[in-house]
Amino acid sequence: MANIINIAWRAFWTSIMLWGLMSVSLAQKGTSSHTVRITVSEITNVQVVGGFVSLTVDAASAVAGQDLMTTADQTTSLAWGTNGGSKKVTAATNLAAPTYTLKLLAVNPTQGVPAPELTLTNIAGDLLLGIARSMGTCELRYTVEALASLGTGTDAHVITFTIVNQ
Amino acid sequence: MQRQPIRATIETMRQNIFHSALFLTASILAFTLASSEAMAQRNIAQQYLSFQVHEVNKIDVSAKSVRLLVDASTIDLESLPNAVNSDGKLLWTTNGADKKITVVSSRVAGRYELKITPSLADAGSEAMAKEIVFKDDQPRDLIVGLYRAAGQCSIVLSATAPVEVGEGSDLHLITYTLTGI
Repeated sequence: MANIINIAWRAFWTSIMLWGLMSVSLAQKGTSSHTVRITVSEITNVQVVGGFVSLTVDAASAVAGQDLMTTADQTTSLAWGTNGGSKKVTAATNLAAPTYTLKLLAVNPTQGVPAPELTLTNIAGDLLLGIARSMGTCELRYTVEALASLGTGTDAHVITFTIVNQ
Repeated sequence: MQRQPIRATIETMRQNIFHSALFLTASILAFTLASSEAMAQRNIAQQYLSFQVHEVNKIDVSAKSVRLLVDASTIDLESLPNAVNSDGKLLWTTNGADKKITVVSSRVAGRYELKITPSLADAGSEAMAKEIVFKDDQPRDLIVGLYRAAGQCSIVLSATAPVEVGEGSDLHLITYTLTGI
């Protein structure tokens, strides 16, 4: 019985091979065609370059006689790519009630137009406008405004950048 | 009897094929879903940012060089010869609590009396000023009651030169310090 099964398997694979050879020979005798459809979905990608930002307000940030003390950071940047048209980048912080004011401005964008300097809240605001199908970068300038009348303290933010339709 | 092992073998093969197909389908589905989720999240990026506000005590005085000249034009026979200067302003910023401004002269004992009087028009409601006559080189409280505020005041310097002391000059280096109580 085992021999019968072996013979059957050999016959089967031999048939497969013969069929394949026949297919090749048939193919050599003419042409065939088929349609290919390429579909590209809308793709958007944004990422922060440079990582974590740490700022300090100290005596160097203050001017005697002025309540407002400021310090700024421009060491990080934003990179994006989109094949969709007419996009914008928005930014928001996770803090609902920060002690001090934090502002953000897109500087030297390679694509798009910077929106006016944004005071960050937990509601997304416009950072960069008019982004066409492109890949681009911009520098991120953060400015902290601390009033002397508010005393000392710390704020920790998670800033979220989003590419959306304009 | 020999047919049973064959049927069992075929049945086993059939089950293996079915399980393989099921696993392959599930894998494709999971990959597709994961890819879609990854694609959807790429339009969002996040960045961590923190800042700390340290205690700041900043003070500055304008009119870095003041001259008080007692001459014939300043003589009043009903009072001692004197000269007054109000060009200077004292400016400060502090985000700390319970602060004061002290003042000290470098001159231990001057020939002529030097007096300083701050004018607290813009100092804040809690601040109090004192008039100081420099008699030695010890620091004295000039303005007290400063609390998380920026302010300024005019500095009026006046020198008195009794005639019996005669002519001469005194040079003072006046130092203002913003400090805790």
